[in-house]
Amino acid sequence: MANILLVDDDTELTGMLSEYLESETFNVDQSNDGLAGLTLARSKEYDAIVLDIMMPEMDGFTVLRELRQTQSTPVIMLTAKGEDIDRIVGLEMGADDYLPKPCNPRELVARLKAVLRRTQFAPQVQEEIKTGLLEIQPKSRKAYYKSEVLPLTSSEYNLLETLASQVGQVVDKETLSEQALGKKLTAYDRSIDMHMSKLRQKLGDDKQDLIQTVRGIGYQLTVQS
Amino acid sequence: MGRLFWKIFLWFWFTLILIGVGVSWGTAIYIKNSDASQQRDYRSRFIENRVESLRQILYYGGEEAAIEFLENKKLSSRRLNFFVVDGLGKDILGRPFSVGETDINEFESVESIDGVTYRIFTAKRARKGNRNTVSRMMRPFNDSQGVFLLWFGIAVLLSSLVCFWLAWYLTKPIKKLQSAAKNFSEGKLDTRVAKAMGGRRDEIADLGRDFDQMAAQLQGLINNQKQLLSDISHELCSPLARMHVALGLARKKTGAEVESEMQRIEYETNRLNELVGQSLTLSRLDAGARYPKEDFIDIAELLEAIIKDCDFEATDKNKKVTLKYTRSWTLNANTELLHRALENVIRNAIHYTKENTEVSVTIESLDVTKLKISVCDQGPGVPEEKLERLFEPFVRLADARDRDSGGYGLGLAIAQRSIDFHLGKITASNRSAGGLCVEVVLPKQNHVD
Repeated sequence: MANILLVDDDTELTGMLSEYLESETFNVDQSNDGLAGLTLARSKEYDAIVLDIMMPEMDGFTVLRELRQTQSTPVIMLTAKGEDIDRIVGLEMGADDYLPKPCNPRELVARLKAVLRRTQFAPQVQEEIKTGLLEIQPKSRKAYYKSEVLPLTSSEYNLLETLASQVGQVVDKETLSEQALGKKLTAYDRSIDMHMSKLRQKLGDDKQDLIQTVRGIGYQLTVQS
Repeated sequence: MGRLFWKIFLWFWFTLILIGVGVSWGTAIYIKNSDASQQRDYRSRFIENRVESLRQILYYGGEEAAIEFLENKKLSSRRLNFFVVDGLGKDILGRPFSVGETDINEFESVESIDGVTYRIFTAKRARKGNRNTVSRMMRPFNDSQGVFLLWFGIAVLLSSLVCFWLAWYLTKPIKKLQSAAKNFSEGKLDTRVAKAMGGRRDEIADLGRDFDQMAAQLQGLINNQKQLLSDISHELCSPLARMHVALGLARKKTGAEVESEMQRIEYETNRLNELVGQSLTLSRLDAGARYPKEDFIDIAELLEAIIKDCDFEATDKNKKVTLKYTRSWTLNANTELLHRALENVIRNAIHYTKENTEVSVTIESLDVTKLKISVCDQGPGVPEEKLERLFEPFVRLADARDRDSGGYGLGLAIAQRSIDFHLGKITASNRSAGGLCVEVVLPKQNHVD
């Protein structure tokens, strides 16, 4: 049984939502302001946290930033409807998923289950990765090539880190999109190719020796001696 | 230079020239006339003198002396002939003479030293050429025509400069007002004209001030209205969220006997949710919210995906959507917003096209930097007077608020703001063959940076 923490300033909503989630066999604790939620999250090992962004006193993003200093509990952020937050910024801050509010509680349950499944099998990469002249430091989110720091955007860094964590293997575009850009891949999306071409430019990888394109599947960071 | 400018310029110029010419004519005629009356006085005195002289000569010197006097070229007049006629009706110089002629004046008779009674007449001399008074009046400055033309030219030039300046001075602020009003109607609600009026202190400046006042009031009203929509939608979010959860709980606790009602409630709640979401998106776009624009999208594939999603709805009513393009472009966009914009336009077209007809979607290159997506249906089109309002929120073309007409009148409004956000332009027009064409122009972007 998974332990869930609900943080939302709407007490009536958290009350009913707790009841709903409990009926779906989750164990639910609730908190109605950011600060109390943060204390609660630090005091107990939760499997997942549902965090509302719009809260008085301490908003969801602040809670998340504080929480990430010490814990890597998966977090689903509840965003206000009609708002389109920057998913990449959110990814950097460590949010695992977003759900616009108001939403159908069934949707929340599905997302919770997905997040729990994902985090159970995916250990967080925090070790630094070295392959040939390329060096990646996930903690500072910096990449070095020939001992020089690469001027990468967040998306480019995310892509490089994702490739580097599976160096020598082909990473398909679906995975790259979800892990590096925080969105599902669609047929019309060319973002990965675009970011990849800029990444190659910055690496001086004109001949595509470093990052190879595997047609129809994805990309691969080759093992460097 | 607008029409008003030319009207003011030409009218004032014309009037100035007319007044100028009129005044100079009048003056010239007046001068001429006073000259003429002086001349007349002078002439009558001259005639009296001559006649008196003749009488004296006849009285003291007789006929010979008179003949001598008359034949003296120095004393003869260019304009008048003096006749001295004896008792037999003959001129003493033998010139042809008859009393019946016009222009003949008779003066007092005189008895000469010889005892003969003579009659004295004057008659105008016949002149060469026919210069009448009127033709002389037409050319008042007869002798200095060249100088006159020069001055006339300078006057016309100067008056045209003055009129040009006057027309410009009057129409410039009106032009400013006009363009401000246009800007305002295009949605730039912070347009004001006070600065453009400069230091003027007249009715036009007052009009500018009134315009500013009106603009400020309208801006306030419109912003209030937008704020109200946004606030209401926000306030609706919390109860809606609770409703969703309560509905979920109710479903768990009740059996199959109320399932259809539950479904209905869920359906309506979702619709409400969608409406609130749309109006919030609209207010955020209106408020100029900054959405991330970090995605790169293949426009043809995006349209294909949208058409595929809409296909079910279309084939259900025997409608078809076709996509035509020769090549595609990769655009820098916010996927969600661009997707929604194009989807709204296409769904709208599918909704209005008649059964058994097709909606055609085409992508074409407009120029080096822009591409055009046209979505044309074969429906009833939109009355011309409503075309402009097509992209305003909550404007519905069908009078009845039938739910079937799909959406809440927000779809195209969101599409327009979303295309705006992508630095594009969306327009609608009726096809000559019937039906509506919505055209979306977007900047191409093939290369990053």
